[in-house]
Amino acid sequence: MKIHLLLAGLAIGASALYEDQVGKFDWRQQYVGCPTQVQIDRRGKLDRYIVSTAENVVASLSMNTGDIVWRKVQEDVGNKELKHPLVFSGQKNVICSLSESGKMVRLWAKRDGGFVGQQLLGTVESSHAPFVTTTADTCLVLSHNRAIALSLKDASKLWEVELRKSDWVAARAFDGGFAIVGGLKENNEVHVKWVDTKGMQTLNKILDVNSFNPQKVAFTGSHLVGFWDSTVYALNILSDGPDIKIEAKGVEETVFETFALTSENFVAIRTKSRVHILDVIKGFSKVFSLPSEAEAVSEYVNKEGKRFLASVHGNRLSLYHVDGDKELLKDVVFDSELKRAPAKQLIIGGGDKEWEFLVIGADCRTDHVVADITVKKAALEWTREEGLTRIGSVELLDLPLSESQAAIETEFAVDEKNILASFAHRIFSQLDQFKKLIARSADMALELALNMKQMKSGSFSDLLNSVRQSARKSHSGGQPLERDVFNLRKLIVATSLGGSIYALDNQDGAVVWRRYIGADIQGFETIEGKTKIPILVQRTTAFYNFDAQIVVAYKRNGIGHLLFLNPVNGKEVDHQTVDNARRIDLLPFVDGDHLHHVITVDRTNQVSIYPKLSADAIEKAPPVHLFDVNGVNGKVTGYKLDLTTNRLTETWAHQLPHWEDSTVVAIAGKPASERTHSQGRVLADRSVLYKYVNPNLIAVGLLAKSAPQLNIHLFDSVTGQIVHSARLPKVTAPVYMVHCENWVAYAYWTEKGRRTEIGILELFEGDEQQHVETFDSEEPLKRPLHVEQASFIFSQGISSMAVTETEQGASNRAILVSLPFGNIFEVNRRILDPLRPMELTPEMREEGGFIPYMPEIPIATEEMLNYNQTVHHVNGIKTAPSGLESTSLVFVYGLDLFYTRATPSGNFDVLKDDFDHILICIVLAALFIGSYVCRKLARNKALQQQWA
Amino acid sequence: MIFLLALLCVAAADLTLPIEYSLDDWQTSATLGNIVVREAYNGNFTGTFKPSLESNVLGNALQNAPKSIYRIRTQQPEVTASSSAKPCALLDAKLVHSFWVSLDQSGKFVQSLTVFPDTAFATGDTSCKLQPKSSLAGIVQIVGTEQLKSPDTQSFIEKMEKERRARQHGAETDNRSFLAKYWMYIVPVVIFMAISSMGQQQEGGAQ
Repeated sequence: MKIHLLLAGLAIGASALYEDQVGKFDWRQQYVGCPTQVQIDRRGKLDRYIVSTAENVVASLSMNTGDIVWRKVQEDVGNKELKHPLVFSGQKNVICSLSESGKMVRLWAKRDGGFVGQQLLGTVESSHAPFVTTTADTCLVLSHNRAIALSLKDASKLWEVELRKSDWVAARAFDGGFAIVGGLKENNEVHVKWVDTKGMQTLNKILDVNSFNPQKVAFTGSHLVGFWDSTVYALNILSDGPDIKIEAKGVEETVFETFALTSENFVAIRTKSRVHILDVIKGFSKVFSLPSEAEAVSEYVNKEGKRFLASVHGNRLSLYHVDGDKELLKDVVFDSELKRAPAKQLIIGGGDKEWEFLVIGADCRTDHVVADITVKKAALEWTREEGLTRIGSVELLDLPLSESQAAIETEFAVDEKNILASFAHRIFSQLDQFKKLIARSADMALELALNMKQMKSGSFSDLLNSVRQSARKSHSGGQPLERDVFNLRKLIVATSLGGSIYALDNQDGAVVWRRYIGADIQGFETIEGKTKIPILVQRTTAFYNFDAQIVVAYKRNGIGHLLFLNPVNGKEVDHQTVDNARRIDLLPFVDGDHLHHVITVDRTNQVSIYPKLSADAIEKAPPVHLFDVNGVNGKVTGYKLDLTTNRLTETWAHQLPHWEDSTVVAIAGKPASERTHSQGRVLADRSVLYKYVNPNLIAVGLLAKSAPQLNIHLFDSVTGQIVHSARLPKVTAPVYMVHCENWVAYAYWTEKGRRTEIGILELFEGDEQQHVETFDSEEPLKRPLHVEQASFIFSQGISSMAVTETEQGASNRAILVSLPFGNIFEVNRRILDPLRPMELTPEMREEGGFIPYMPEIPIATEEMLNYNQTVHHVNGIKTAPSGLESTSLVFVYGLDLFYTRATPSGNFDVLKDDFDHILICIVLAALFIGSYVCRKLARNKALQQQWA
Repeated sequence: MIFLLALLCVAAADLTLPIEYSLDDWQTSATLGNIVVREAYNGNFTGTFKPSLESNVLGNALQNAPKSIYRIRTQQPEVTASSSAKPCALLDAKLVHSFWVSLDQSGKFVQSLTVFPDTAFATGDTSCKLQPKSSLAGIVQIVGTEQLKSPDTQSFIEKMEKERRARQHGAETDNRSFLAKYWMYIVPVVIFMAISSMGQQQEGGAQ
């Protein structure tokens, strides 16, 4: 048995990296998520921002570089957004964070992020937004209508007090304990409670107010400030005695927003045109009004107690001295990009001459700006693209042909009769190539010289770093965006649910371009319940005389939008709005310009095509079939598209069984570009089992709830025929499914075995091939399909699943599985194979290549694609073929981004890194010289023999 | 005995699917026939199609509407499964239908009903005319719902057990003769000895 295992290991081959290959083919970018709360920590050597984010993360960022100093990733909330973002409060050493909408409180050491302690507050989300505040030794948490005090030493509970039902709460510490204030909209009441440090209630007061709107209240110092009925109200929750008064003042303008400032007893209100600062104590007198419009405003009090106010509008920043009413910076440009997302938050880091600011955009982009108030100039020091943590869809696109490649294409495309002209063309293109070669060599020489210079000064580690950095630089900065020899370099185009489109270079993850569409956009809900902003590739870069084109579909205020872009530079080509779009897809054929047209289907089955098809294209078009799963009644309907009338005609329909009790967990078709290299599988007895490769096959996974069961249906989308259906009882979520070639792999949690398992279902036509050349759905099967199936125990959880893709489909496929603890594991299809024999017969041994069945998939740490580069909260894995048949490109996205190359069959078409070019040259040269010398010697000898 | 009979009756209960057809998107429809599904005792299903329509009626209707879509359906309580084919292809196949029915785990619920013109009878004539010797008939293929396998730990453990036992009791009795078993060790020794003795003889000869 051991030998078998060993053989199995050998057969698959180790895919581990060598130490010097770390970071050579892969990169990882770590993110924290969209910041919701930011604090500045200036204790210690390094100044930092402490941030909490919408992705349930608390982190500390270096103010100098923007790098993560420490990051605490808490529970994965999956695709859903948290009801209430994570909040935290900190004293000088410890911060107290409240994650998962108030379910869990955790304490962290501020400097190094060390874990201090935790308390579970509830298993459901808090009905109101939770609140947390800290004193020197206590952390007070308001969640689930309770006030809980925890010790900052070990998170032990000190006391707990019940609160009245509220939908907004806040608290502040004072000498004698805590003052807690809450409000409830439905009763129009505000309640105030004082609790001493031992948890004894000293005051409990309920006040009726005219109305209470939790959206328009702010808590500043000891005051609760709110706006309703064109009046600003303030309530001093620390004022003594039973007569807590509500002060009120009418305002002329409509107040859109009320927000607290750092200094106590001052509040800012945003009216239609301006932002005003009011002094609450002095009868809401206007202290300061911003002279211009502002997207975000922030206040800062320096050590001397002077107050400053900063505002940001577009790419301009202003800073005012509040008390002196003095302008320190006025509309200083800090970023050259004009189409920035509006700022949603501004944090002032302060300073004397050089001021630091953190600008957080609506698209979650976080910019650190340093402004010099003497020369009145600002500069962007670092940027974090936190919008990339919420990717809604990804495509990997080929880069356009390089100039020389395109020149070759043109040379052969132009059918020139004149021999002289084509000769001249040839000469010119060769001269051009020669010029480029010289330019490239000069660049390389320069770089080498620079490296040599660095080599002389500095230690070995410096040298290593510089080499690494120069390698990075040459990838992203120097090279133009053009295709490389093996087509390994791609453009990763991703849409963010935060409202931006990004294009990344797959060499190092650098942002090539970004485009902000709007933070108010929504994605489309898939039937599985995921939100996506789909990217459809209309034209790839394969055609040198046409620009590539993609379309991004999103919704704004319920109306569908189609944004047509050139993916290489991000320039808009066209923009269309579509009403009631139920489905957006590409037509499977191209027109004369090699463009796949976009079709949208509305609720009345009317089809629109963008751009319109020409009469010629309609005539030549192959039949187009569509299918549709109704999420309400579970009816699956097939349609034929009539391109002349743009109507859909129903061709088939059926009902998904037990729909009322089921949820769709996956609907998986196959990409049109997918290739199956081999049409059959050779068995041990040398017979061939032909694969059922149906490009129109759709796999649907349904999970029944009351009697837990997984149902898998495989149907042909042209005829509606369910070619195979299978069920597996006692299965619950999470279920993942990938559909590829003639097989479906599915991962599930089994209630029976209480473990994760992966199953595989492979379809064969049998030992006779029915569809020899092209597949035709309308031709009936000669006999029911031959289905092979097996399942395996997978000893880890699974958070995402995908399959590798190669250019010709000849390499083995591998299933990529992301594990909850942050690794990406590659399961080779040879392991996940339903035809693995239980026992090897002597013929099989002779034949070789068979791996005996083992009920468990062995998980070896060396086979983790991302070795020690763990990636958290993985949302999806995208694979794409490269120009090398062995290599599939893998892009993993979630809270972190990770990119690598996968070679499921090994690097069979690439020379190894340590391939000794010099040795082979020497050997060749030696052979050559040797043979020459030998010939001479032999001739001499022959001559001597003749003389003798 | 009565119990057994009752069991047989239950097991042999048929599922009858009435099939309707239409050529005008269900504005008018007529009965085509019935598919009777019978579950065999081994759990497999067999189906037969019993037409209740004259071949000519269908043939003429198809000839008169060559551009329409020939649709069929079966209605179960609350649920309809439908499919379609091209009239001309069906005329070409001499009105021989090939029905594919997918049933759920209970064997009573039709998951999908698909009709194809049976290509085995196709003449390749594209004139869209009723072929001679056409007769309305149908071949029914039933596909049930299969239960997926769980990891086969039982057989694996048995296999391991067998291997362990084999190791304990020594290899399976080898009844080849001593020579057949160890010839590969004996032959080199013999050859070596032969060579060395030859060498000695030669040395002796030299002396």
